[in-house]
Amino acid sequence: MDAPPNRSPGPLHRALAVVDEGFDRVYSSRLNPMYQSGPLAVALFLVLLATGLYLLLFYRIGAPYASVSRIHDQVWLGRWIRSLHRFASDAMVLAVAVHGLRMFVRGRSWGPRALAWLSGLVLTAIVFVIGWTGFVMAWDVHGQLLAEEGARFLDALPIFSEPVVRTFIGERSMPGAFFFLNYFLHIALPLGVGLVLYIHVSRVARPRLLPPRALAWGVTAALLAVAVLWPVPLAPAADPGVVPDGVPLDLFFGFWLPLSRRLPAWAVWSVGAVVIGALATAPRWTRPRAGPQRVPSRVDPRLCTGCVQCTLDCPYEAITMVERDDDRPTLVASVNPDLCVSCGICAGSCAPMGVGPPGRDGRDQLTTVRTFLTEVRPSAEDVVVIACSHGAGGAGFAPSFDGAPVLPVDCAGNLHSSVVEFLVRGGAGGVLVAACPGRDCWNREGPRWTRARLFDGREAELKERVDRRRVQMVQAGLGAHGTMIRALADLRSEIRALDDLEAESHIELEAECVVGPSAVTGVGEVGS
Amino acid sequence: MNGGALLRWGVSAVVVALLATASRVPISALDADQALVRLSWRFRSEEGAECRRPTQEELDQLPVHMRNPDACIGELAPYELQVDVDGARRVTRVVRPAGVRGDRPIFVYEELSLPPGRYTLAVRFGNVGEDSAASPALTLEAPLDLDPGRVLLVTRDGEGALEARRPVR
Ligand code: SF4
Ligand code: SF4
Repeated sequence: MDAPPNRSPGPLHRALAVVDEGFDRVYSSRLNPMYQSGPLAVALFLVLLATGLYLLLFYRIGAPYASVSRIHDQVWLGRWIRSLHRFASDAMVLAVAVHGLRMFVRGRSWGPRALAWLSGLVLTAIVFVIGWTGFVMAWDVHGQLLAEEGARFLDALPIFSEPVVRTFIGERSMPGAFFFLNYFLHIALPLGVGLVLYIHVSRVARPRLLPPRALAWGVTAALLAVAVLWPVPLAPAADPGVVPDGVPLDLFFGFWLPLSRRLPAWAVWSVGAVVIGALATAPRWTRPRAGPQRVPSRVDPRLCTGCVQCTLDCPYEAITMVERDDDRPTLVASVNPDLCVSCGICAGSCAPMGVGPPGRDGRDQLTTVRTFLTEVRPSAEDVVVIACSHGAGGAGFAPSFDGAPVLPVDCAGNLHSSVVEFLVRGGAGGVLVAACPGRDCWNREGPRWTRARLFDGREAELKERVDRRRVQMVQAGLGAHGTMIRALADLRSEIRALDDLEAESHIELEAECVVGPSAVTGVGEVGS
Repeated sequence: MNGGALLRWGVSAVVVALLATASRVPISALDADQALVRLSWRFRSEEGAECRRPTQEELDQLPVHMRNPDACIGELAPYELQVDVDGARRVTRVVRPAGVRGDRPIFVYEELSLPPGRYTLAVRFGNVGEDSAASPALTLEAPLDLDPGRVLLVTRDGEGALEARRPVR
C-alpha cells in the first residue's frame, strides 16, 4: 500500500479544524452544524418555502410596500413570519458560504467532483438573485438601493439602449411590470434551485439532503426565537426624492454594497469577473499538480467473484456490474474512471481484494501491514492506531501518537478488515481505528462502512475469530486531539485488563489472497 | 438544565443574535449632507432636425413589423449637454443617439452632487458645435432650492420642455 499522500493541513485547513472542534464540543459531532452546511442550506430552503407561501398570500404587486407594511403590522404572525423568512435566507447564505469554503479548503473541487462544484456555484448565484428580487419586492429603501445599484451595473454594459436606472429615479411612477417581473422570478427561481440541486448531488450515492432532525428543528427554533424577540425592522418606503441614508443593510446579501458604491461600475464588473472566473475555473487550478496523482480504482477480474458489495458501498456510484469476458458464470465489477474519486472505499468492501485504487487495494494493504509489523514489532501491550490522514486528531501525520505506533490510511473507509486481523495476529495488543466524524468524512461514507465491517458483519467483515475487545473505533476531526487521547487511553486500559493478553498472536495468519501480478482494468487518472 | 445544554443554548443565542445584527447594519449615504440633482430625459434626435422619411419602396422591402413611415433615415446627430450652476460650467458632454447604428433616441442621464442651498441652474441641450446664439433644442434656466439628502429631477414635461421637479414616488 502506498503511504497516503502527504496532506499536512495548510493554515486554512487547520483554522477550519479548530472551528470544527469548538462546535463539536458544544453540539457533539453528530449535530455539529459545520459538518452539515450543505444539508442545513436545504433545510433552510424548506423554511423559506413555507414562510414564503404565507407571505405571498398577502403580497400585492400593485402595492408592494403597503402590502409588506400590512404584513409587518400583523404583530402576532406576519411580522415574525417575515422575520423568519429573512433570517432563514441569511442563515442559508451563511450555510452555503461555509459549505463552499469547506469544499474548497479540502480540495473537493476538481476531477469527478467538478460537476458538484460548478452546480454549487450556479446554486449560489440563483440564491443571490432570489434574495435580490425578494428585497426589491418589498420596495423599501433597501430594495431601492439594490435596484439602483443593479441598474448602474447593467447600464455600464452596452446591451440596453435606454438606461435602466431611469426606471427608478422618479421620472414616472414605478411600472407594475417591474414588480411583476420580480414577483415572477422570486417564485420561479426556487424551482430552478430544485433542478440544479438534483444535478448537484447527481454523482453521489445516497445523498443526505437534510441534517438530523434535532439540528434542523433546533436551527429553525433558534431563528424563530430571534424573529419573535427581535424582528427585522420595516425600512422606510423607497423614495426617489430622497438620498437613501441609514438604510438597514442585510450584509448577507448586500455585503458588497458598501464597497461597490464607491467604485465605478466597470471596476465592479472587473472585480466580479475575476472572482467569478477564479471560482468557475477552480476545478482546473485546484487540481493537484505535483505528488501522487489520485488514480481511479481498478478491478482484477480474476479475483472478482461478482458479489456486488463494492457497487453497494461506492459513495459515488462509480462501479457497475458487467458481463465477464471469460466463462465464469458471474458478472464482474467495472469502475467508471470518470466518476471514481479514488476514495478507496471499495477496497475495504471486497473480501477477495479484487478492487481498489492502485497501491491501496486490499493486497497492497496487506503488504504494507506486513512491513509495518516487521519494522514496528508491536508488543501485546501496544495499541496500534490506524489513522485516517484527513482527521483522527491529526494522528495520521506522525509515526506515533501518544506513544502508540501509527499506521496511516488515506481514508478509514479504505481500510480492509484483514489489516486489523493481521495486526492483532501479528502481536499488537489492540487496534484503534481512527476515522473522521461520520458527517465529515472526506469520502462521505468511510466511517459508516468501516464501523459496519468491523462490528456489524458487513462485507468484507472482520472475521469472528478476532477478539473484538482488542479492536475499537473512534471518530474524531482533525482538531479533536483530546478525543483521540481519551479513546487511546480507554483501549489501553481495556487491553491491560485482558487476562489472555498473549492469546491472539499464536494463531496462524491466514493467507487471504495469493495471486500473481494483477490483471487490471480501468486505469487512468481521476477526472481524466 | 446541565452545563452542556446551557452552553449549547448560550452559543446558539449568540450566533442567532449576530446573524440578526448582520441583517440590519445601517449604511449611510455616500454624501448624506449633500443634495442631488439628476438630469434624465429621452430625446429623439429628429425632433430638432430635418429628417428624410422612408419612401414606399423602401418600406416595402422591410418585414411588415419593421415598416415605420415616420422613421428617420440616416444616422442621427449627436447632441451636446451643458450644465451651469450659478454661472459656472459643471457639465459639458456630447450625447450620442443610442443603438448600434445610432438610430435610437438619445438618453441623457447625469448626476450632480451639490451642497444644500440656493442656486441658479442653467441647462442647454443642442446640436454639437452650435454657437451660443443659435437656439438649442432644449433649455432650462431655473432657481433651485436644495435641501440636504434631497433629490431634484430635471426632465421633460408633458409638452417636451425641460422642468425641474421632485421625482414621482
Ligand atoms: S466487492 Fe470485489 S468481488 Fe465483489 S463485485 Fe466488487 S470487485 Fe467483485
Ligand atoms: S475508489 Fe472505489 S469506492 Fe471510491 S469512488 Fe472509486 S470506485 Fe467508488
